[in-house]
Amino acid sequence: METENRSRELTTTDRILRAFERLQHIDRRVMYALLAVVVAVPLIWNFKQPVVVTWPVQGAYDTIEKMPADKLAIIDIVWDSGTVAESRPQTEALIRHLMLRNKKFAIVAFMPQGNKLAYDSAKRIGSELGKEYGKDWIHWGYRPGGAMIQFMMGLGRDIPGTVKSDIEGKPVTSYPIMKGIKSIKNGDVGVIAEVTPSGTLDYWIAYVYGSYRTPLIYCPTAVMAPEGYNPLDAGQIKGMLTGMKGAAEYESLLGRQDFATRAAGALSTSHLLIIVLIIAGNIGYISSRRRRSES
Amino acid sequence: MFTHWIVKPGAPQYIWALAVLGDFLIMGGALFFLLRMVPSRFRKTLVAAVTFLAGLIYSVEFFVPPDPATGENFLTSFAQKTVTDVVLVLSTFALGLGIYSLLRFHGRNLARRRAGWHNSLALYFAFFAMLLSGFWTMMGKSPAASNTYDMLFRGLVAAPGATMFSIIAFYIVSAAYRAFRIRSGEATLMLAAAFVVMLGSVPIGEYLTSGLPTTGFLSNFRMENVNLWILKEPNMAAWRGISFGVEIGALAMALRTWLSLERGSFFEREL
Repeated sequence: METENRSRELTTTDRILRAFERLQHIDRRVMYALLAVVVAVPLIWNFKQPVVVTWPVQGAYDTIEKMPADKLAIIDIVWDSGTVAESRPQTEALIRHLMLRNKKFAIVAFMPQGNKLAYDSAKRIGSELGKEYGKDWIHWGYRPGGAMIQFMMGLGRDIPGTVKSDIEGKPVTSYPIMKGIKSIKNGDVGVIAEVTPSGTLDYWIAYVYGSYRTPLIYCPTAVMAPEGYNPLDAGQIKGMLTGMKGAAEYESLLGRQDFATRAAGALSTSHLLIIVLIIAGNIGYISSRRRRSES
Repeated sequence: MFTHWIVKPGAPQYIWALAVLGDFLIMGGALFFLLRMVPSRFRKTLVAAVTFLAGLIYSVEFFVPPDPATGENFLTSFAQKTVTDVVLVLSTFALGLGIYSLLRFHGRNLARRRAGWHNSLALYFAFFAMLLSGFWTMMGKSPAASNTYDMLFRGLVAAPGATMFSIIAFYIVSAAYRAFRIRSGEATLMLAAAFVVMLGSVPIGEYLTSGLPTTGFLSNFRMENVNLWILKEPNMAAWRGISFGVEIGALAMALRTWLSLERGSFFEREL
């Protein structure tokens, strides 16, 4: 009788373990569908969450706040449409901040697509805030990425001579914003912010920060952020906006709830889904191991 | 190179574009012709000599002490201005070469009706649509031109680019689900770190520990602070180690390229 009960108990445990085991073989199409749902729902219904500002983002914000109004900020665009979801909110947050504080800035792009995407963003925010092209901001246009280092070194020595013309093909010296702007060496540039999914930060550190100590801000995509902590710790960059969340934190500092804040909800739900799936997969894995050892 | 001599400042943009194109073709053709004039056995030597001299400019400029008054040495101006212009021109040549190579390859696909020829046709269509609409925009400020360009840019370039990249998210979910199994102590540790970094990188993770104080000892256990600690301490140590290795490798690679010691598929080909 006791043996029979024990056998029935084992069968029940076995059945439960078998059921759990299935969790390690979830069909990938189910996972794809779940991800699509958890990303779409917060974007459609604006799933609001509190955003905590971390010190690297606060550092970036403070650096722009402290920049003297007579200096020029440079926003370096090294992103294209592939990372538009992360890089554009970062770029727009920086542009908005500079425009709100009446600080002059120039955009330069080393990616052809980012060149136009950033230009469109700046034009839109500029018209919203009543800022004038050529007086409050300028776009230096696209430069080939292969000549990035030479361009950076050129900015150090002679900005108008290196940039020559803007995105419209007009000489940069014809714009009021460039009046009195000579070079980074001359101390005319207050901040350089790099928005990028690639590892080009080292060039700014080596060729500009190393020589002139111009404050740098780094805005990588979330996957590239780990490489930013070394220069952040060394003080070579003054602040960092990590991916979409960094942009959401920056929007929170500006008192706004733009795309990054709305999309941060989707980011939360998708990360939670990954965690739930990993836990489910491990429950299945442990169940399978336990059943094998018992049998 | 000759564009600034031929075209007057203030000329329409399409004149500039045509002048640059002409300049590109003339200079490229002249350089190619000169290279072909050199006997084939000397071509590699010539390329090696030019490579060595080009590398030498920056090395010498870096190591020669600058004049304390100007902060520059005798090579600084040349290295930072003339060489910058030359590199920009060469980069543009590389761009032109890439376009030529791409169109040639897909042109052959089309002409011979190879498998997937319709993709080559799509490339030609997209390429010329963007090129022509770009020139149209440059020729005048007509709203039709800029609207066409914007529509093609957003529809043909930006939207598919963003879509292709966003598909990665689906593979990441599937890969994370399969890869993160607690098969050993190390795997468990990695899984725990991944959970903290994942939760610390999103607002909901921060919300979970928002009850803890923002200052004092207990603030160290807030999710965003644990996340930053992982990224700033263990991650940075590992990253520094990897960076040292990469940089030493890059230095060796740079030396091999500079001194034309590199061997392999391209470097051993007859020029």
